[in-house]
Amino acid sequence: MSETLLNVDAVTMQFGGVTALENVSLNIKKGEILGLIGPNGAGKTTCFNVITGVYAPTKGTVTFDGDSLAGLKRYQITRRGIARTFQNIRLFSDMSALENVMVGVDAHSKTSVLGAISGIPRSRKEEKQSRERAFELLQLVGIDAYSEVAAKNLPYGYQRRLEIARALGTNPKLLCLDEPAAGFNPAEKQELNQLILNVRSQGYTVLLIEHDMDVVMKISDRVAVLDFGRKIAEGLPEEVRANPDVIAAYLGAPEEDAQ
Amino acid sequence: MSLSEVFRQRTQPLTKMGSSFSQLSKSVRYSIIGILIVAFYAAPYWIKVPGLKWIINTPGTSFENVLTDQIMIFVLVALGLNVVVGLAGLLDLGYVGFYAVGAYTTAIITSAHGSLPWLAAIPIGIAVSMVAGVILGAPTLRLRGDYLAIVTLGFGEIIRITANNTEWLGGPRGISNIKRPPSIGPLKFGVLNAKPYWYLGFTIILIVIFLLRRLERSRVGRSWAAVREDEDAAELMGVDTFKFKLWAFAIGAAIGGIAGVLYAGKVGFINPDNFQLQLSILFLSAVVLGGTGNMYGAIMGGFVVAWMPERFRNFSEQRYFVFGVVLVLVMVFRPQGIIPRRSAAAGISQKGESNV
Repeated sequence: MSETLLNVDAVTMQFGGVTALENVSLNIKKGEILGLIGPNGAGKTTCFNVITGVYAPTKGTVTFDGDSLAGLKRYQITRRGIARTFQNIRLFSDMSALENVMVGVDAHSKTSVLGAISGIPRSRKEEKQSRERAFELLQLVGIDAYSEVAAKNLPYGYQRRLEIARALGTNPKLLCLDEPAAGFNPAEKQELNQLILNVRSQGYTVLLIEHDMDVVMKISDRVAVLDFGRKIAEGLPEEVRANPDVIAAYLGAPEEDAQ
Repeated sequence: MSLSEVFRQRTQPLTKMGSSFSQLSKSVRYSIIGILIVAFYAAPYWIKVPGLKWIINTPGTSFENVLTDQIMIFVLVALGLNVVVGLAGLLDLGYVGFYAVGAYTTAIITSAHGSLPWLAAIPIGIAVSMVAGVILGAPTLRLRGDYLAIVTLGFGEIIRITANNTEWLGGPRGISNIKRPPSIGPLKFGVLNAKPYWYLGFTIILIVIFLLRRLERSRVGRSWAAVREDEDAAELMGVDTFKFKLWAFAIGAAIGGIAGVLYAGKVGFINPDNFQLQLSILFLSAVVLGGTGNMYGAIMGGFVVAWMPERFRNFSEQRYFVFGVVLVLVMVFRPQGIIPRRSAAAGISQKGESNV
């Protein structure tokens, strides 16, 4: 449990004159759920984008599973084992739910154009395996009854689940969820908590960005707090909740919120 | 009932065909496909069927020649362009360039600077157009959307203007005496009888359809679709987007090249005027009209776009007006094209809902 999976070391990210992240360090251990919180504009999503290779950090390094991620392309980082969902849902809307997940599963397929054209046994076998694996993942997130429905026609909550299934399709070591509970009602949040815990129990490590304190505090093993691009606190949920800096920056009146 | 409702009702069975067709038993499906293939091989004789003759009649030109010089070429080109535009979602406005590369390659190696047989032009023409596709794609596929469209537009023009200004390529006079396909038994590829060219061309179309179906239903087809739907998300899900986009360009170029090889072998003479920008636009309208992203739609679109101006030749200069009106009507009433992309939405979503 204590082995480090992802190490973000003193990362600074500047866009022109704007410093979105300043000297941020994070550590994610294998098998844990790390919650990353902070007010709007604190740099949470930027932090995500640095980890998943969307941005190259101005300074600092990201090390994953012992290797530096510097210079790797986005799809290579995904194949190394970091998968993500998006704050604004970004499914392949005209493709069926199953196909969406299959795109993720394909990340580790070897079949390319020549294999597909010639229909060699390996490509047929991979196709079959992809399909089966994708269906398993739809079952895991509980929307297998909708496997043939176009992603755009799924209800909102199921789209969020589909995003998780698609990310899991890439067989990640680290699953990054960007505000998965956005727009959910309390019952749906409850189901989502269960799903995330369920995913973790299957051996995945989870990095969770969330606005919703309820979700984060309930399921995170540890919580890190960003404010104005700096990390201002890190620790167990209870510690973070009691931290005066965090209260000042983010939680406002903690006694009412935290119940 | 409004006109659009009438139109929709009439065309509805077409869109559902895919799903109900796949529910038929294997033997029924294969017999239907078999009958269709035979019917299309017999296309040069359609003009002899009384009722059909009235519809497909092409005044001024024999239907055979329209079939080989226009329809065959447009169907092939639409199939190829559909890979680029419809499957991978890359707007290519210079597709005529690859068609020209195929035709010029044939002309160069069989007439102007060599005397290889026409058959040799097939592999060489495919290879050269694929290389052209990669040369165009490698630096430009970093661009997206409109910017890519503008660069490809330039590419099509560069090919034509280069051919026009290069003596080695025949300049504005073009290249003549291009070799024809070799005779196969009783099939003689000459000037008078166009039928053998159709048999050859349709065979190539069938092979292309067969191979494209395999691609479309594989990881490659899914990767293209993912790139088309959301390129960034695709890359973050592990799709090597650049590689698959380049493949789409290369495969599209190869099919455009084959069309050029066929065309050169049929007409025996080409010059830069055969490869005007207007053709690129017509190719694209064939794909969009038929149904972007649907292979059978592209075939249909290729057929319609190639055939309609010939059908309305009696209207002389006004025939392009008729053609334009038809394009507009289709886009108003069927914005997705005549045979839209198989939408996972339609028939099957009902199945999903009934489970809940």
